[in-house]
Amino acid sequence: MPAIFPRWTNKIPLALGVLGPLAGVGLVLFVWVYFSPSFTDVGYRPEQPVPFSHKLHAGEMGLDCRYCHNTVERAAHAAIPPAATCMNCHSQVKTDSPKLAPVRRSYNTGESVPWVRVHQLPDFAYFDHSPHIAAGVGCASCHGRIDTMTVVAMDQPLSMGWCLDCHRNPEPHLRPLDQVTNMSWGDSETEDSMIDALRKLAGTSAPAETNGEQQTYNYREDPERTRLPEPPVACSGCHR
Amino acid sequence: MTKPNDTLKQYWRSLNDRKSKPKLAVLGQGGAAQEFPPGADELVISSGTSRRKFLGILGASTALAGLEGCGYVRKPRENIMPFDKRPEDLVPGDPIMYATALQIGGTVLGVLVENQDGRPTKIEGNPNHISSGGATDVWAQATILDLYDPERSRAPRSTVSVMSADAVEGEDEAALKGLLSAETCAATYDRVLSDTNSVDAALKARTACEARVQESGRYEFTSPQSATLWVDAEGQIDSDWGSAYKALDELSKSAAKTSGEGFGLVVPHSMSPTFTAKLREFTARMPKARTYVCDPTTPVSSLLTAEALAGGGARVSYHLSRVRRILALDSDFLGTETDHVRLSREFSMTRRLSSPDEGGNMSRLYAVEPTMSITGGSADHRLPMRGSQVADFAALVAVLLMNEFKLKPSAAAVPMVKALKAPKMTPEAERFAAAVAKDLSAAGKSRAVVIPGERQDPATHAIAFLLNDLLGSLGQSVGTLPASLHYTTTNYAARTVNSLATDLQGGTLKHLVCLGTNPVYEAPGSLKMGEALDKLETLVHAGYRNDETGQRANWHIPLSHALEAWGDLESNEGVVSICQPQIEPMFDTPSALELLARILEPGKAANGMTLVRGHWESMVASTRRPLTEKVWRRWLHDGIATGVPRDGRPASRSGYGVVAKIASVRAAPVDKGIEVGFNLDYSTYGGRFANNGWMQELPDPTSKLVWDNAAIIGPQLASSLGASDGDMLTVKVGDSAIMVPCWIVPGQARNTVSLSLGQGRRGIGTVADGAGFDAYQLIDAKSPAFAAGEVSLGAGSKQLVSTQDWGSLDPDGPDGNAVLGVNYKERTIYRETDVEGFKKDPNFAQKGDLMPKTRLESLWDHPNLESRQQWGMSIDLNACTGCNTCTIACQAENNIPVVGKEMCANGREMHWIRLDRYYTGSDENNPEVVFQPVGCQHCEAAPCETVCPVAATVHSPDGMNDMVYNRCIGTRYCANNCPYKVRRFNYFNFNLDIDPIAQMQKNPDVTIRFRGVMEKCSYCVQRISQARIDAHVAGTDEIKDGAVVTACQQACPASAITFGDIANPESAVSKQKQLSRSYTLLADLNTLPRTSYLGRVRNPNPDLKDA
Repeated sequence: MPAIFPRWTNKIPLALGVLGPLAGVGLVLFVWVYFSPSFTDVGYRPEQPVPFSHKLHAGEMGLDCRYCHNTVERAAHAAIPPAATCMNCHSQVKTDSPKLAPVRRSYNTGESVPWVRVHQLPDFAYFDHSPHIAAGVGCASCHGRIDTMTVVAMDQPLSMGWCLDCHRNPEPHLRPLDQVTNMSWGDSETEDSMIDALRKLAGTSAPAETNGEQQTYNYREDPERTRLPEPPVACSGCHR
Repeated sequence: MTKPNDTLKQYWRSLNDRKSKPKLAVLGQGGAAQEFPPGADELVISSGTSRRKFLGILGASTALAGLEGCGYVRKPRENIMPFDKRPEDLVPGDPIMYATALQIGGTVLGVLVENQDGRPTKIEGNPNHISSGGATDVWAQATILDLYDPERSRAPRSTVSVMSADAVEGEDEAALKGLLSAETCAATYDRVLSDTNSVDAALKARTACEARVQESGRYEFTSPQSATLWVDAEGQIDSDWGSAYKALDELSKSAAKTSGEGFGLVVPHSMSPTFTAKLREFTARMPKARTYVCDPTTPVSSLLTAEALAGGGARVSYHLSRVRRILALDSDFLGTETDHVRLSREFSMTRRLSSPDEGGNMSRLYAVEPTMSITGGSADHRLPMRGSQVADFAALVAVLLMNEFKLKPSAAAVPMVKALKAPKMTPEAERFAAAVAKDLSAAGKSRAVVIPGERQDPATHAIAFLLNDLLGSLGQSVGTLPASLHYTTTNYAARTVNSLATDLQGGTLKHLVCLGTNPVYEAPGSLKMGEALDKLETLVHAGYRNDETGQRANWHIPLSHALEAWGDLESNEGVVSICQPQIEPMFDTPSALELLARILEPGKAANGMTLVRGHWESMVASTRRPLTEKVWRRWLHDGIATGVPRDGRPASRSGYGVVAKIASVRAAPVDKGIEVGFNLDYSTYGGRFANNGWMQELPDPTSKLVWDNAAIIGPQLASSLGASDGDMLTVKVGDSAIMVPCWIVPGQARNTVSLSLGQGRRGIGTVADGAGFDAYQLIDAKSPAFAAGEVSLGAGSKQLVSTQDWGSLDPDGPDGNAVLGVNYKERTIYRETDVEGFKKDPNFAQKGDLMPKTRLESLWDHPNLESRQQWGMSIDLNACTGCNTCTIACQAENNIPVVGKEMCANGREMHWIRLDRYYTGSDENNPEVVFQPVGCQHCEAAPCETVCPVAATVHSPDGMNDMVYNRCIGTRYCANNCPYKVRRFNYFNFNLDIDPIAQMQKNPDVTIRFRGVMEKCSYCVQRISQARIDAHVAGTDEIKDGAVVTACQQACPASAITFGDIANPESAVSKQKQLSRSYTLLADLNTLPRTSYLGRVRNPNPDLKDA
């Protein structure tokens, strides 16, 4: 009686035994990488109604973050500035620029400039800027080197796991309280190798440049600090 | 094992609960049925599949379907819309509180309104305002929901043929009308044809339509392009503001020409000085016009007597902080009556005990009333009595005080004595009166107060004046604020709704403007106000809703909500507040004040702020401090106007003669047969809040009914009628009769029926539709509060829903049943004693646990509670009056949905705080009532946490039982395992289809829950988080004691709730928990709750002890 299955089929169980787990691991890795906010969110760079360049304003001209986002130290939201803030300067400079037309229209008519939200948390996560600033977490720690971005993009995944990494061990991300808005303060976050690796995997470029000025900072010895940061790690710390 | 203390009593939740001896058997039967809501056990669906099996199949197929539906969707694109020029001090996302004031009946509450990015979301009390003292009541809380009622009136409506602004004036109206009517009716034809597929029906509808248009000449032209138009079958159509103002201006002009001949104005009981001044101006300008007050919440009797005593504008106010003995004569001063928030606060202050030695300083409250009110529930002694006999009782006490205890009235009050006769009463009442008189007379000068109820006729109030005079309280604990110190006058006597009816019947009125009033619904049924108003030539109705009067009116004009309008209010105590709008009128509506000003000056659009500010500028012009911008801003900021000038004339009490006359004209008491009594509804407050979902779903404090009112009868009358809960009764007063379902409430006086006013409104909104019945129809204008009536058992019954029938913490009942060989004795959920018992055993509250604390061991590892600050709550049952304010404040703060009567009937109400009401005592016709607010107890060893398969409910390091909505998969194991029955499940998507206007009320700091998610009290975790953030930003690690105030604690008028850090022994809550009265619920389960209760101590009169 001729064999129904040719001889090579004997290898199928072996192949399945080897490839099956590999495929499984591959699937897990695929979901791990491509379904995570590190891939889906990092690098999100929507087009804005006004081509405002943070690189020009915050980088080259050196405006402090808080000139525009002035509620950041005392409120949950680092409020997007009203058109009036833009007009403080732009009533003098570039008064006819067509790119600034939406700002002038807003200032004159009272209608808002419809900025597109870049850093968007889910509604059930109650993030508040003020305690982070008070604890000495730099703007650049979460937002990246905004001063190098012509168009703002997401630099960090802002996922729950990413938040918790820092909440469980805030020390590497703390800096002197007067350096919070300093974009170029040598932070140690570039050492966060997993995020870097994921970023490379995802093909997004890392916008952060280190200026080589690695500083050592021990927040426990900072006389400016009147209390130590104790970020909440329980559910009710961020969810209400 | 500790034996139950002698002072522990047996408690029952309802009469059925008392009669049945439940057995803990199969789930869903017997006692367990009281622990779990209906349908919690295995339910067999008609086809034979059980509910669980069905869900299993459903789950499997859904899981398979889910695999296919897996898709990746990015977060929706969101815009950030910044200001063009941001107002100073406005931080986007941060709430701001603005001060204003609200009028609730005869009470003015100073409040602070929380604004979230320009939308008011929550109302809190203004701590600097005497009448609120930082607290609120249920109605103030619910006002915010009324503001966002999608069914409020938005545009004027009229029955008058009006051309819209789009139509060209002067064109051939007849031709236009012909064209329009033809088109309307053609549209009707098409619609009916497509609906019914019947040509006959469509033809019939078109003919009817044409006839109607021909006859009435009513049409509307909404847009010239589409020419869509319709004719209202009721005869009233949408109009526009221009036409409405034009019509009102013409009416006012013609009235002014004849000095107001035939012109009338119906106003509510307004405590606004500016509005009162405008009314005076109106009377001066149009001397022949009449004004009437139509407002069932007016404190009529106290106004009449106070004004008789001390002149128009005089007020009576009670001050209880120094008082030791209180006699409430059918007065619900803790619940619905004037200054209830302040009186609750002052009363509760006299009931606080930190040690047994303070028992002597405690106040003692006597209540005499026909139906169980929350004041009666708080009373140490309560005598159920026909409402119409209360005046006799008052007279009896007065005579006893003078004859037996030799108290002398002041010289001025002597004429009143002559008007008194000692009436003959039942032995029970006489014994009660004797004990009360003895106790009141022994209390000392000005330490005892008699408070008469607003339902009582002026005679009772006049006798109460004499009583307070005898007790030396008049002018001391009973303040009589003279007319000269008040800006708002009433002169109520000449302007009652009865005289309105007389004038309407007599035909002297031709044109009537109802300014924020609703006489069709609120006037006594015997006046037949609806028909009477139809005799008018013009009826203009201005109101927040197009209500019963508005629908009959020739013109209906929408009014602004109190939170949208400028105004001012003067409290009973004489504190003036400026009311500032919290939001621009959402539908361009005027306020009542602005409309009144427009009537005075036709054609001129009035501005509320100009009116109010102008009024006060002229008032303070005489003083040395003019009303500068700075002073005005200070007034607005504080919510209190300081330095307002008062008339310096001394208080006059010249009117005793008149009061004596009032005291002698007493309505004859209803001695025989059935007495029908009417009272303001605890939820709808006379009808104002009838279309308010929060209030409809708020259980009545004593009957615990939701979405309904009922004829309240006592067990004695129920057994003689053969009626049981929900049976329809026919209640008859005079010629009118209504069919009402009954509800049996222990403590109701014998042979009396109580009906609450404010339900049964139809056609004003979907919330009010179908809820309750209208008791106003039954009222005879001659005796509006109590009347002789008849009651008989009618046919059929109606489902009434009471929320007290499940969620029992003691499911096997008071008798205790052997289960698996263990005899479970009664669990004492509520622990109380009296002053003597407290002295004998200061630790009474610790007694009654089924298992001594030493024998308690835990199966589970104790959660790791490592935070420095640990949160806990203490609730003082001695202070709690059962007013429900915590429940509503919690609902407002935590975005708790309204679920409807059907859901409530299935035990699915969503309130995070349940106010348990128990009866105790052997006499069903006169039991004692106790109230106990129960929310999540935040057990340290929480039974819910151990059964959750997905760790959706876990412990936080600061000792809270966190609920993580995103993890919850809706198994409901936690709710079933919760011994306190405080977990609430979202069976449906209650939050999915909320009207955009109603959405504006939602608190942005609290997550909106989705279907299939469990929720429960979170200890207001959003407020704790905010306090933690604020402390951190301010540079400290520690949240200061008092920085976290939960919503229930903030709203509680009796300050019964304390919240704070229990790890700090100096915190207020720790001090409460250290008291010997402190106990935790079901301590024998070893759940270690973070919420504890302070046991109640009553202060009974030894003379009445074995009554």
